[in-house]
Amino acid sequence: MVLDANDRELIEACQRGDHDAFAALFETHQNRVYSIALRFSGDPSVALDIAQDTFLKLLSKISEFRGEAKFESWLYRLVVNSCLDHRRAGRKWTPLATLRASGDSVLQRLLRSEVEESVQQTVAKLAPELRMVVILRYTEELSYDQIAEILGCPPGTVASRLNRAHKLLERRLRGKYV
Amino acid sequence: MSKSLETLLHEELGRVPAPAQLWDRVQLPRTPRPAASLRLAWAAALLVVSAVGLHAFLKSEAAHSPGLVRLQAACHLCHGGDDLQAVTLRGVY
Repeated sequence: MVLDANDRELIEACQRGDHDAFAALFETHQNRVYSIALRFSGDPSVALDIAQDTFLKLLSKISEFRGEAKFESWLYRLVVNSCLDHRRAGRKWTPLATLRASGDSVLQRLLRSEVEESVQQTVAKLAPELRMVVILRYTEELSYDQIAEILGCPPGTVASRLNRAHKLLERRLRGKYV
Repeated sequence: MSKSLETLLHEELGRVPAPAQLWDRVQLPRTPRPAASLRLAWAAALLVVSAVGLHAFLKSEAAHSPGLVRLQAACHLCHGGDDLQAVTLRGVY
């Protein structure tokens, strides 16, 4: 069983064109989709474009979802493809930091923002295939097997990409924060 | 500030909330901009229509000009009217 009863009902309602069901799916997954898009592009306006494309694809392709795979994995594949499509479209992305709402003081938030911006920019300089593995691992906290399923590659490839990404990030961030 | 790379990545690459405008944009998708060739074709068509309109306007203005009527009357004195319209129009244009 890859879907629980609630998910299945929601997806089936969405497949029948139920607008409320789509709104519920959107509500559940919007932060996930937007976060991946933002971490991959580094630009909030590009991330909005990617997230919008992903949900429009979801709406148009939901009828093709048969439930053989987990819905989240299917959705992750849509986001990953949207990210790579935007990348291939040749858009120039400028990584920007985003301030997260928190109870920290202004100084703490500024320091955090500086660290976040630096890490975000360093990640943004990775090759797309390394960057996506890093995002799925650290933004979504997915296992190697889950990442491999989403990217359609063996878990060994995920491990080797992550290993390469770690080495590059460590070299670039060494002395600053690591 | 020094910490392990994994801890740093977990902390700094976490999820962020999607902006409220995302729902609006999903509800009202961007209208695709027409292709450049289509825009060029529209511009060319507009130019042709403008040129034809201007030509027709100038032609009708010239035909109804009092100066031209006086010129035609004067020419009748010498040329007697044969092909005068064609001669006059060739002279005007």
